[in-house]
Amino acid sequence: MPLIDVTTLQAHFEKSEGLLSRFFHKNTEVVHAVDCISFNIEKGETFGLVGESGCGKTTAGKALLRLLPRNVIKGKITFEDHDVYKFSTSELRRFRRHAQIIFQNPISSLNPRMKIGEIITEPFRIHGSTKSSREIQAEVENLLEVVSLSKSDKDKYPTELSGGQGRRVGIARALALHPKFIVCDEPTSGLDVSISAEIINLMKNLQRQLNLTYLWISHNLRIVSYVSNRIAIMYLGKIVEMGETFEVFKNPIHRYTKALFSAVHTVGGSKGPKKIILKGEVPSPINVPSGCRFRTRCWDSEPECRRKEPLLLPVGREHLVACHKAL
Amino acid sequence: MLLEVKNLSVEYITSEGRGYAVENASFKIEEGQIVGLVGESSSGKSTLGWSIIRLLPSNARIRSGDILLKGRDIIKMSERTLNETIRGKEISVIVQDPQNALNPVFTIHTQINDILSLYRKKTRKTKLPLLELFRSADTERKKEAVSLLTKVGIADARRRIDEYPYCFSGGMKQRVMMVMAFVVNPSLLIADEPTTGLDVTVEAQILEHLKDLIRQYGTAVLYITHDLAVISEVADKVMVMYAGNIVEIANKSELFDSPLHPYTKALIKCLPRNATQKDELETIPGSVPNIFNLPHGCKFHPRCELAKQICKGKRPLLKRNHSSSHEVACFLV
Amino acid sequence: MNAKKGFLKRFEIFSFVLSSPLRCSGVVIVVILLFIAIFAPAIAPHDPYDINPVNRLSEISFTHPFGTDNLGRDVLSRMFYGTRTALFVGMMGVSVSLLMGLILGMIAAYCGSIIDDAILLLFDTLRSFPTIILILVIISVVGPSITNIVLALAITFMSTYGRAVRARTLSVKEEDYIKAAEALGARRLRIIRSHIIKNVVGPLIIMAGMDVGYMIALEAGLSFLGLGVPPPTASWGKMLRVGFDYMLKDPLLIIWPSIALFVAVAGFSLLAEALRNFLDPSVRRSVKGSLSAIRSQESIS
Repeated sequence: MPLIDVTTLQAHFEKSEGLLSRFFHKNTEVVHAVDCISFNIEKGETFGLVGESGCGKTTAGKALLRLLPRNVIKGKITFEDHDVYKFSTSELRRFRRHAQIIFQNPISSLNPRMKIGEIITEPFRIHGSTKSSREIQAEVENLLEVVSLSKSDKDKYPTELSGGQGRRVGIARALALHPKFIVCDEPTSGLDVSISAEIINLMKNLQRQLNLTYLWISHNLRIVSYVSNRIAIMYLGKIVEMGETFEVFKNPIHRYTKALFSAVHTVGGSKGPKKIILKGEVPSPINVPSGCRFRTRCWDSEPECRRKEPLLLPVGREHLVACHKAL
Repeated sequence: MLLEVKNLSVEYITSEGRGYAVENASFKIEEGQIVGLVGESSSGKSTLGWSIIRLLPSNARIRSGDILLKGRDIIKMSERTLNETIRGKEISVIVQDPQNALNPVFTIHTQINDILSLYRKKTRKTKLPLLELFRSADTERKKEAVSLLTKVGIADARRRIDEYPYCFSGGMKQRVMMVMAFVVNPSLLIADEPTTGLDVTVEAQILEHLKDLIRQYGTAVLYITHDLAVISEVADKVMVMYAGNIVEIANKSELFDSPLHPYTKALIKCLPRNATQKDELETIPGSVPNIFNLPHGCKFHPRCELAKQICKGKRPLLKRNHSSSHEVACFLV
Repeated sequence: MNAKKGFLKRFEIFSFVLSSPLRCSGVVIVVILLFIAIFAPAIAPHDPYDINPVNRLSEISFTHPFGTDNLGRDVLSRMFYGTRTALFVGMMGVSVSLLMGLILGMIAAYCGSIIDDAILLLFDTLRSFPTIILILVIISVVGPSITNIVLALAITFMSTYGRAVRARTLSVKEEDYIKAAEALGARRLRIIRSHIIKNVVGPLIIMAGMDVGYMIALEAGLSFLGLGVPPPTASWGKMLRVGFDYMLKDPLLIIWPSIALFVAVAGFSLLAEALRNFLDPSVRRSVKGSLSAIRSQESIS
């Protein structure tokens, strides 16, 4: 039984208008952030969700944790076989202990008017820990140590921290309640290469020690390929390719995946394979192209691509692709 | 020799103290050469780039050194000469965050037109009556702007040129910036992290266009970034900076195939190479020093596994090693 | 190490205040005014309500340092007691206004749709009235008393605070750290209490500080028109009225309360300005060194 099972998840946001428009329901524009995606995450694995800005990966991550308003979500998300969106208030609170999130921006996800120590203490307070104040402080200090921060950082404010340090605080806060599952939203964005490497190592170690399951959301293909067991590529709200990381990496089939992988530069003096340069820009999620959403930039598109939307179908063991020309 | 920088030092004065963001930097850029400047945050790379055209924040001072552009001393130049002849003319700049680089209250056309009219003024020489002259000059410039925008990949440029910056995505704004930078035909382009923050596929497109423009105009480029991968794509020669010092200069292939400075080696190792790599990533112990509290001797020695006594005493200077094009600042190579 | 830092932080406030004569004077003025207001009964030389028609409109003397007014009451004592009125109305008015604005603004921001629109409508309606007219209307309905004046002022001003709170709450609500608290399982009330209020109230305190001066002036204006605090309570406004009526006979009578008003309004404004500067890190640091630390931090890369 997978830890998380997502079935035909859809997240459509309505662009809010003024009072009069709300009365007359005229032309409300809908942002198709996530459109009918299905996947599952096994216990203990790192599932990579890859895509560029606007593809809906962050929205999908938040949807999994029920951080989006209910009227926006359609579809089914289960955690340990329980429907997340059918939780009662108390069940939801218990769920929150098991499923956490590390936010993209390390500093803005910390209340600028709270000290680091208070920020990490908060999870304990929220869930009414029976421990004494001293015990909680000891745990907080322990968490700081686990993420390689010093005890003296407890009294600092978020604005006094560097990006890397802020990220570590976010990790410490997410770990406070001993979760089983963590959504990691761009954990290394904006960090220097060496700091990025430290954070990745830290997260991998934690995963091993604490038996965590990760949903790793990122646009950095190189890092996602390195950390994840399985990977899903998203484009404009849809999953276009999914499978075991090594398999997808070795044999990308969807044209978008090919372009993405080729755009990841090889580091080194020698020239890599010829880069695929896509034409045009990503279409707006308000007006998605008919049929296959990628067809406007695909060098291989055919009339069928405009008429019919391709389904995500298996092309090999543990490898699915949504493309009419996959086989 | 297009640009020669000798022993440049830039100091910041703040309420927390004074510190050198750039110390004793020396390097050369030839005509048409693309030089990459690589470093992590607080390495001083941006400061170095901007000091070439003396556009530093008010609490920064150039303390020593020479900056010679085609033999002319930029440091000693008056502000006025600098503005009239160098900034936006001989030397162009494209910056990191295109979101804020364009004025939001003017259309794209107005902004490009500004530059074109300033630039073309010098080369105008026709005998048409004045009003006709303005009108035809205007349409000529618009045509030129549209064709340039189309060349850098902006679809439907004729219609889009009259839109405001908020209608453009980040990648498109960066393209507009590139057009504006190249149209003045500069001898040197300073690019400060132009593709950081852009999507991977957009970055790929931008870099292609950038390389085309560089080829077409024959401009030399100082490409500042923290991304080693982008550097290996774009640059001919690479300079590595750490905490204000240039620690290594080499041709691209030499740098990646046989890096000499321990920092460069460590930096290259930090990148995960591919999906097959399953072992832990290499990291560099410690952290980048605060410019107000720099270590004695070699600034990297507290984090260097090869550090010896001599490294703690004196600052190593850039010296040639083996080939004439490979310089390193380290006592131990 | 940390204790030392906390200790030094207190000194930071002092050094900041003392560094500028303007800031210093603001603080000093307000402190003196508070002192006078609190200890008025102790330091006033006479009973301010003591009507003594024999001694009316007397000159400056030892017994009456500021003379007496048209009813023979000691001007200096009335000035001291007037301070109480002014400060009470000013500070209470602002506090109540701030509180009402805070509550309504947050409700508007959190509930959205109809409730939000209704509250905004209320705010806009209140603001569309000229200030004085609105206050006069309210007072004429509920009758003049010091509490009612405070209430009237509070209602008039709450829309400004309310709107500011609503705007700030709307933006703070979307911040990542609020989402983080949600993700941790925090209930809404807790989020409001621990996260939102802290981040919303800051700039409002400054606004409020500046408005204290304005409210003091308004109270004086009302009293001048005879619609302020009822007799026999002392008020600078009423003294101004008396001074105005007797301007030809005893010109000094109008000068004393004018000076008092000026000093009070200026003092509170300077204090509010100092507070704003203190809470704004870029200005604060520039006092210590030569130039802004924030700019330098941004540029070092």
